[in-house]
Amino acid sequence: MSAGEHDALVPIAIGALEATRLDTAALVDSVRRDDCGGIVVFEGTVRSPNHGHDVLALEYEAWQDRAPRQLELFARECAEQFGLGAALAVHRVGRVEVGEPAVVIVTVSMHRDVAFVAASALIDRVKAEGWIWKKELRADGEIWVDGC
Amino acid sequence: MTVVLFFAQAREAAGTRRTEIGGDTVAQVLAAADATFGPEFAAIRAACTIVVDDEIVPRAEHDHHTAGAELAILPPVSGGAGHETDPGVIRVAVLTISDRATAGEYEDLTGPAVEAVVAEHLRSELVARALVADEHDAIVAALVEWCDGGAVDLVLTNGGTGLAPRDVTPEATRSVLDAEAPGLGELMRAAGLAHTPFAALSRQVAGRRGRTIVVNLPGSVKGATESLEAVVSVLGHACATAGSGAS
Repeated sequence: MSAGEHDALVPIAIGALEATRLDTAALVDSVRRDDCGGIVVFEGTVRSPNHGHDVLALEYEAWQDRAPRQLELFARECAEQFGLGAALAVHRVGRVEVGEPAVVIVTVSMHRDVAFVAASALIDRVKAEGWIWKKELRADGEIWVDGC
Repeated sequence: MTVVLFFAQAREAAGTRRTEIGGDTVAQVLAAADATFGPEFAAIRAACTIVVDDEIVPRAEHDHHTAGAELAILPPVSGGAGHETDPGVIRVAVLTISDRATAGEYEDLTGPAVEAVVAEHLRSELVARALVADEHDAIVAALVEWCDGGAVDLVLTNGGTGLAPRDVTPEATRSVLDAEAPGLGELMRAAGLAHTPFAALSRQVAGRRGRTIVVNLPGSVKGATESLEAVVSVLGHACATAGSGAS
């Protein structure tokens, strides 16, 4: 019997912080696999205006000793929970310009429905639990932001 | 000495990423940091999560928990607060209501069991716990303090829900609620009835005071655990709705 849909996938889990512009296509390629037919990609990008303020850029700060390990853990637990072939969570630190990606989530599954749900769950967890903060750089000042 | 790490707005207010502070407990180290860095820092720090040696230490334990080797002061992260319907991290307080546990005749096992169910099912932080006798006024005082203090989203009581003359928890709870949520009591009793007809004798009340949800649980470990598990899936939404100020 060939490797079929009833065999559990051994998942790939990737979590990382990056200090330079995220290359979404390259991140997707890093978890692409032949035995999975569905890939869902989520990019969180810097938005302006935000709540009525013109935003110049966001400055991200992370707990450098913990956040990469957290992201890898969230990806691994997401992959295990949803039976994925791969899960990836990569977040920027430093200054991110308007329109640029601040975070990329990729979920890779045998089928698309699971990949969509898993991607949503993974970004929610990254935002809720990851030790990552953002400061909004506005035309009229700077402010640390609790909300999304 | 404990290595203290500061992040984001706490780092800016302290003017440093890292320092060393002496103190036996988390509360002592935080008080020393507040004294060193001033009121602006203290106000930011009060909203921070504290992690000691890789373990989140809930507020209720700051007085007792050792300060450890490394203590991180972590402001709220970007998720959660952005959507009104996102329950975020639910701040939970647990009130054990028991004459015998208050008198020291036995150890309170139900409170910790409730906390364990909360930790397993809710994205939450235990911010307070207390033990009071089966006295109407003592129960009311604890509920009002937590509900009106602005720092608790969900109060879970256990005990005093039966038919004994000393059982006054439902009446005390009802007297402080702005709005009752009878469906929660019905759901908990229905779950209990699957195991025992005695669940019909439980009188738990639930509802909202201000922006805080209050839920009575029975006093036994088994009863409290099963009742909480019956309603836990809707408590996040209940807290989000109560806390949003939406009508």
